[in-house]
Order: sequence, then structure tokens, then C-alpha cells
Amino acid sequence: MSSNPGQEGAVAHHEHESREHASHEDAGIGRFFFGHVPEGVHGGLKQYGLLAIFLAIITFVEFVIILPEDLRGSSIVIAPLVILSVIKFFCVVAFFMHLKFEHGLLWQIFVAGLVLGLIVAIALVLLFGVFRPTPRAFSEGRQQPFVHHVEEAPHYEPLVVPTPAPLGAIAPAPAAGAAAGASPGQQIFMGAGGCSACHAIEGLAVGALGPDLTHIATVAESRVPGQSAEDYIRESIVEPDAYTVTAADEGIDQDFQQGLMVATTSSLGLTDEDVDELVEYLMTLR
Amino acid sequence: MAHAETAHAPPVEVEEATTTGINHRKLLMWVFLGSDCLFFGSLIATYMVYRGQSIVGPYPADIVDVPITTISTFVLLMSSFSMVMAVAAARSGNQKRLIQWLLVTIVMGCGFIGFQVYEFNAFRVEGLRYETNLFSSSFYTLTGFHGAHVTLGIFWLICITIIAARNPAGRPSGLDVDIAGLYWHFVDIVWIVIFTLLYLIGGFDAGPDAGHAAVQGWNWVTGLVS
Amino acid sequence: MVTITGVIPRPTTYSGLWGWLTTVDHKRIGALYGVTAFFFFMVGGIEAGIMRLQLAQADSDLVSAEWFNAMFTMHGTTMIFLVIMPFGATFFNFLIPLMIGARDVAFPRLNAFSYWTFLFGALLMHVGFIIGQVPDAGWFSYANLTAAPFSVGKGLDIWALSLQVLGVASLAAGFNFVVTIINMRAPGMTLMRMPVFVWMTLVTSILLVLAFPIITVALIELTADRQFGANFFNVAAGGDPILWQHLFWLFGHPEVYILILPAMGIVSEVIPTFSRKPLFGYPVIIFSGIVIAIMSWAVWSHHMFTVGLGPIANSVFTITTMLIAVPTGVKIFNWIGTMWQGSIDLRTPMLMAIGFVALFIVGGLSGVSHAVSPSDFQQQDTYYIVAHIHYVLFGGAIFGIFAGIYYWYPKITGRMYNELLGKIHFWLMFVGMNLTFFPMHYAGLNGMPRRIYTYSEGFGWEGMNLLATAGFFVLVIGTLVFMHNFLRSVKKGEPAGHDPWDAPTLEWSISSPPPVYNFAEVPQVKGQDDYWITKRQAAARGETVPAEPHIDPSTVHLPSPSYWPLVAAFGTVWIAGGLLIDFGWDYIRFPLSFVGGLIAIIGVIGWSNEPPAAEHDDAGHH
Repeated sequence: MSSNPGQEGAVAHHEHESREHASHEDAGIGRFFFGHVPEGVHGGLKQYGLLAIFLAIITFVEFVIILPEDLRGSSIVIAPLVILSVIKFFCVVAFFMHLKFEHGLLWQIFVAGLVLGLIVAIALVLLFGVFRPTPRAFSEGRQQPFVHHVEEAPHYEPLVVPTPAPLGAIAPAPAAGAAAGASPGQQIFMGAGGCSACHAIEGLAVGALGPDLTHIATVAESRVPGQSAEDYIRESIVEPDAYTVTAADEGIDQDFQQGLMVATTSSLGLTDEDVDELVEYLMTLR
Repeated sequence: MAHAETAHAPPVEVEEATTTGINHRKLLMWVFLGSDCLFFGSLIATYMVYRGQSIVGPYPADIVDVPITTISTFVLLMSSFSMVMAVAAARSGNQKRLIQWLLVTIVMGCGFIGFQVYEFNAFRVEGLRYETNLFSSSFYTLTGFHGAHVTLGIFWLICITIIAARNPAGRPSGLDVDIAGLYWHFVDIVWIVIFTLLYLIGGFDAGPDAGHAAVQGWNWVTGLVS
Repeated sequence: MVTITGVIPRPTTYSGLWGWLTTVDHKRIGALYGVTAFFFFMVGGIEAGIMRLQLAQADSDLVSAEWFNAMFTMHGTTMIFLVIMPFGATFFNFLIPLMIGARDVAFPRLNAFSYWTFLFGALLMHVGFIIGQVPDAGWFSYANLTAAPFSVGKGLDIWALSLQVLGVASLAAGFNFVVTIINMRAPGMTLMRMPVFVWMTLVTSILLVLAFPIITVALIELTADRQFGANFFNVAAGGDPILWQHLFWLFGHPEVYILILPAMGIVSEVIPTFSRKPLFGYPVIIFSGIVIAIMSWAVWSHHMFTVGLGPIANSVFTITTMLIAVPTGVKIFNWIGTMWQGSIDLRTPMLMAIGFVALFIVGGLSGVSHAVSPSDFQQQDTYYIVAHIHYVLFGGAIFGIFAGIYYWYPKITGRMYNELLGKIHFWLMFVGMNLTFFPMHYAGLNGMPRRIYTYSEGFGWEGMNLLATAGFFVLVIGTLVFMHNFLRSVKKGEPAGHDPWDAPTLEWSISSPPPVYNFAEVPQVKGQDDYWITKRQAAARGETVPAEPHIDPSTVHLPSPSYWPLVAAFGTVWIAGGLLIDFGWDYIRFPLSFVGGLIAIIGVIGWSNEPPAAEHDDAGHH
């Protein structure tokens, strides 16, 4: 486009555009790609066609490069692939998008975004490791081989990482997800109820903020005099502050915090049926 | 430059003179494209950060079909060529050629989307749902948003074709087609990056049991070469 | 659809409700932004007040822990996205075309679209108060606290989706102002003759269009996790919550400068005017602004020193963070150098600007103290950080915004505010601000964590918290004084004249309030501080410069009002809002969201098919 609008005036706009086109046929291919191009010359079927063929060839070459199975993923292959795609990228930007012929400001704006996006992406990848698709700490050793034609999506239980236990609670063995045959109560415990975030059950959950529930059914029998185990567990879910477990109860350094569980359970929206299932499940933990 | 001129401008479409000589809408489009680089940059970064971190399959090597995506990449690349021919036709005021090239571009764009729909469906059948693993989430999000960009571009080109077919005085102008073209080419170059990183390089990332890396779609190629 | 929308003529009314709903006039949109931002300033202030009352004494049970969580989340989100950013947009909208000598912004309808999208997004953000599920994971909503099992209910969905909508509004405004400033300057207004505020707007807008796509992606990933079961931040599937922190702060740190650079621009206009001296080191202040913008991309991980990035990353980000203090310090010296030996006129705008400089130095210094990562390990997540952010955003951004409000009040309303009340407001703000936030430094270093809803006696935090709560009420009184002054002076203030401050920039050359067409004749810019040059040349001839005479507005071609930005904005918000509705059936949200998409598409088609002007343009008759 023209960079001298002062002389153009508003009315001359359309003439200006057609004038641009008039000189297409005069531009030699070599001059079009490499030399100085007279203002307004963009190219026609010939130039664009050649460029398209060039891009198609690059794509074909890329495809050929990855054919040898042994080399796939190695840097011998990655380097030329990256270089070729960069060439394609800039050919499209410079010639198809006419950026080579545009006002320098447009270059600056686009390149600013492009370079920044590139730097951000590279920085992020580097902050997480290196450009190698090797599993990092968490995934390493946990990855399972893939068996074809699995229809069901895997169900990930929310994973609770043991927090440094401020209350002196003991974190038991690592979490195992709810088994397929888990009771509804156990599923609520591990899932929607979010109980496992704070409570531990040996071999199942490792939460460390609240009391350990591994033997809750036994413990609950004698915790509040005159209250049955079932009533105590139900009350502890529905109205956690009615009785707050003390340091002496659990043999630890500090009382549990009043109000802590109310704060986390009040928004859960558990139904009465859910609570029944939970109580039923917890009563099995002797 | 002289804004005073526009004081009595008739209500027809007259390009306003600007400080830099660049049309407002064209500048807007380039700023948008610069901004969109960051959008795709972040999505690609997410994919690259999570590359190789999925803990269940399917892993890319189990299902990614590089040969067929090479064809769809080729289709999208060639649609850039037809787009640039449409721009050239619009600039020379050749409405008939403009419509022809636009239709070619639209058909190729639809072809690309068709390949993507086929691919997504094939992946789903193989067991790669959106919620399956990290690979599926980041892959579908990145390529899905790219596909959404292409779809929007097709929609835009269809609108321009309709306007050109009715041909109300001077519309679409060369500039209208040019700006749509910029968007179209940008979507193409984003795919160039995605194709290289997700298919040519990342398409062979295998799970822990790499021995049986799937060869879906590779059968015919290997047959051809050997 | 093309035909249906094509035949609707553009609205012709400029008055009444429809006039405001369909307006594309940058001055009216600026006013709408300002009123909305001030409304949310009060909302955010009330939320702050609830927190301060709760924390005034130990073991208080005024509000519950969940309610407190909701309060600090909404306070942070509101103040950043619904107050400081739109206040910035207020000034961009009202002033940028006036300062560069243009009739309007480059895309008037896009400008209206940004405002309506912003307003609807802001309202959507507050839907939680109606349905009782308020966002409560903090304004940076760290994963995986935001994951579905840990943040039950719709609160976080509301937060993520309405922030997405606000992002659309900000992006649209950002694109608009980049194009406007690059492309619509009056003849002679070269880049290095632009007022500093225009420069800072340009830098802010560029930061905005580059930074918002990143939060867009982060929010897409969060929404996908919550709504569609994706695994981006699902630890069990190998996802990494730290990715959220990186993406959020990659956006979040440029965002900090998006908040503060407009205020710096305002202060750079106010200080020279009331020092009767050109800005000291104009090119330096511009380049330091650009350097800040570039460096703001290299410091984000200083928000994350304690997550365990390792010594190399921590060292790198410590160094870059300390370096970014250099261009900021340069600006401070520029302002002090401007005042040095100037004939300083301590009017309210100047007081606010000096308050900005002073308080921003305090905030900047505490910022440097947690740029050092070992010291940050002590300060992370304590009230020391709360003190720092309020010194830069309240002491900085809000003081800058009030400096701008007082400075341009006569231009916007045509009347003078009451100077005495203005000064009282300043001193109440200044004292109240320090009383509220200075003790927080001590509370923080004494170990008081942020975001706790109550604390026990005996930690030595009671006194500091009581002082802070007292300071809050001083701020409330100050704000009431401001409101009284503002509203009373709109009607009863002295007529201000076109140039009450003898100011250097173009907006003062036209009458107050500016006529709808801004400039009758497009100004020819002669140099930096152009209006000072004009006035000096006239004074040399023994003349004074009157306001530019009015002309018949109907002779000026102005963009006609339009319905479509409103329609498109409504559709855009409905895409997000639809996803929040279930009526007890989970899948209804997809068609509902899709309806929003259709409305937006109809809006855009109508927009692009609209005739360029109304048939009977009655621009002059209002």
C-alpha cells in the first residue's frame, strides 16, 4: 500500500488499487522474491503459483524426512523439520500476506506479537524442564501402557497430596483410588464429599488436616458418653462443631480446630441420602 | 491526513485518510494477529509442557495419523494460494474471478475441517476422549480452537462471496477481501506450526510400552516405501 | 439474516435512554465507563469494609469463613477489573481523541461494544450474590483449589466466565486505542510530540492486547477442567497446578503495569501544568515507560518464588525484578525534576499527583524488598504483601485516577469543583490510606498471613488491625466528601472556562464541555506542549487565545449511533452466561450458550451491514 496518503486524498482510493494491479505482469519472478519490488506490485498467478508449488514441495520433503522409523523424534530429524516449517511460515507471511510490501509498522506489530509469543512459549517449556517428552516426577513410573479400543474414559479420583501435618496426624500409605466395587459411601468419601482431602483412612486416603478415620466406627462408640457410634458419626458430618476432637482423644499435640470442618463442608450440598451412605460406609471402619 | 475533508463527506464508503497511510481496519487486523500469536503461543506452550506427561493412553504414537494430516495440511496450504488469488482478483476488480477463487478457498477450508472432524471422530473411537488424559485435553483444545478459527474464516469468506455475487456498488472492495485474506493466511501459518510440533515431531511420542507403537494409517505408506 | 439485518436503519436519536444505549460518541462512552467504575469502586469498598470490620478484633465472628473468602475474592477482582481498568478506560475514551486532535476513536461502534461487554461482564460477575454462590478462591484463583472437587458450586464458573467476558471487552478497547493513537493523530502530531498520557495509553493498550490472550487461554483451560472434565490442572492425571500460576502471572504482571501506566500518564500531565514547567526529560519518561512494558514480560515468576522453581529461576527473576525498578525510579526522578524550581500551584490535582509519587515510592520500595527472593520467603502470603499491593494500587493507581478526575473535571463538566472540599478529600484520603495500609507492613512482618478470616489473641496483631480498620473509615469519609463535591459542582460549580489551568495539551483549546464534534477545525500541531506554544505565540502578539468557536454540528459528519454493539455485547455475554444455567438439567447450558452465539452473530452481521450513516442525521439537534 501507499505510504504517502497526503497526496492520495480520499477519493482516489479505488483508482489507487487498480493501479497497483496494472503492473503485475511486469515484475520478474526473481525480482519479486528477492529484489526491490516497485511499490504496489504484489504478484499474479505465476508468482503465487510458483510459491504454492514451493510450499507443497517443502511439505512433501517434511513428510519424507519422518519416514525412517528409527530417526523419528531424534534431533537429526527435528532440526530440519523446524527449519523447513519456519521457511514455510515466513513465505506465507511475507508473500501471501504481502507483509514484505507493507508499511514497516505492520511488520513491527506482527513480529512483536510473534516473538513475544515464541519467547513466552519457550520460557514456559524450559521452566517445566527441557524440550524432551520424557515423563517428569509425577508421571514417571505411573504411566500405564495403552491397550487399544478402550471405550471408557478413565476416572481420575481427586488426588490429595499429603500436607505437612500440623496436627501431628500420621499419614498412612499412599492413596489408592476408589476401587471399582467401592460402596456408594466410599465413593462419596473419595469424590463428591471431598472428605479424603482432610481425613485419612489407611490404604485409601491420606488427608492430614482432620482426625484419622481408619477405625472411626470403633472410636465413635466411646467418644461422647451416651451417644451411639452411628449418631456420633452422623452428627460429626451434619454438625461438625457439636463435638470437636481434642488432642487427648487422638493422642496428638494439639486440639483440632473448631470451625474448620464447618467451613469446608457447608457448601458441598450433600443430600440426606449421601449422608446416610457416608455413615453406613464409615460404620464399616472398625 | 486532512480530517477537515471528511467534514462534509457523503455517506458512501470513502477510505479515511490516516496518519500512517495504513487503513484503520487493516491495522486493526494486524494488531489482532499479533495478539492472536500470544493466544496460540499459550495453547501450544500448554501442549508442549504436558508433552509426554499423560499417565494413561492413548498416547500420540498410538493414534496420530501423520499421512492423512499431511494431506489436510496440504489442502490448507493450497487454500492460502487460492485466497491470495482471490485478493488479486478483487484488487483488479474482476468479480467473476474473485468469486471463483473464493469458492475454491471455501471448499478447501471445508475440506480441512472435514479432515479434522474425521480425525477427532477416529480418535474418539480409539478411546481418546476430551477427558481421557493430558494429551487429549491439550490436543483437542489447541486443534479445536484452530478449527474454530478456520470455521470462522469460512463463514467470513461465505459472507464476502454472497456480497460479491450480489455485487452492490463496489463491494467487496479489494481491502475487504485483503483483510479476510490476512486472517485466512494467519490461520494457515498457525497450522504450519501445529503440524510440525504436534504431528511431525510430537506425533511419535509413545507411552511406556513403546514396542507396539501403533501404525494406523502408516500401513499403506510403509507398504509403498518398502 | 443478511437481508433482515441490512434493512434496519441506524438510530437517529441522540437524547434520552435510547441516545445513551446506542451512543458511539467517545465522550459519552467515557462517561459511562466512569460512572460504572465509580459504582464498582463503592461495591469493592463495601467488601473491603466488611473484611476490615471482621478483622478489627481478634476472634471476631461477624462473618463466616466462607463469606470472608468470598469478600476478599470479589474485592480483589472488582477493584482490579471493574474499577482501576475501567477508570483507565474512562480517561482513554474521553481524552485520547481530544489529545491527538481527532473527531472520535478509530472504531466508534467497537468502542461501544467494549463498554457494553464490560458492563454485562461486570454484572455477570456479581450474579453469584443472587444465587448465593460467590467466587471464593482469591483473585488469582490458584489451581487446583479451583478444581471441581475442591470448589463446589458455580462460584468459580461465574468467576472464570465473566472474567473471560471482561477480557473480550478489554481486548476490543485495546485494539481500538492502538489503532486510534497510531492512525488518527492530527497533522504535525508526531509520536514524539504526543502528550505523555497518550503515550502511556498506547503502551498500556499494546500490553493489553498482548497479555489478555494468555489469561484467555488460562481461563479456557480452567473452564474446560470444570465444565468439560479436561485434565489441565488435574493432579491425578499428571496435570500441573503450577501451569496455572505461570499462565496467570504471565498475564498478571503486565496487568499490574496496565493498571499503573495510565495513572503515571495522568500524573505526567498534571505535574507540568501545576509546576508551570514542561515535563523534565520527556523522551526519557516515554522510553522508561516502554522499557517497563517490555520488562514486565520478564518478571512474572517473582509471584512464585516459594513454589519451588529452583535456585536458577529464582535468581533470574530476582535480577529482572530488581532491574524493572530502574525505569520506574527514572520516572520518579522525572516528576521530581519537573517540580524542581517550578512555580508549584498546590491545587487538588497536584496534591493528588504528589501523593501518587510519594505513596508509589513507598510501594515501590516494599516491592524491591520482596524482589529479593530470600526475603520474599518471609513475606510471601503475609499482610506485608497486602500492604505493598495497596500502596501501588491504591496509593498509586487510585491517587493517579483522582488526580485525573480533578484535573479534567472542568473539561468534562464545564464547571469547577470546590477547591476546599477537594483538598479536604485529598488529606482524608492521604491520611486514611496510610492509616489503613501502613500498619499492615508490621502485621505482615509479625507473621499475620493474608486471607485469614480471623485470628487469635496474643499474636500482637490486634493493634495494627484496629488501626487499619480506623483508616478504612477515614477513607469512607473522604470518598463521601468527594461524592458531595462532585455531584454538587456539576450543577452549582463556577463555570470553568475552556482552559482554567493554562494547560499544555490540545483538549484545553476547545470549549468545556467539548462540543460533540470535538474540533471544528482539525488542529495543526506545531510541537510538544502544543497549546502552550499557541498561547505563547499569541501572548507575544499581545493577544489571548479564546476557546475554539462553535460551529453548526449538522455540518460535521460524525459516526451515527448504532443498536448493534449492544446486541453483539449481549450475545457475547450470553455465551458465557448460558453455560452457568442448568435448571436442574445439566445439558441445557449448551443450547443456551449457543443461543448467545447466535445473538452475537446476528449482532455482528447487522453491524457490518449497517448503512454508514443514519438517513436523517440530526447530530446537531440535541
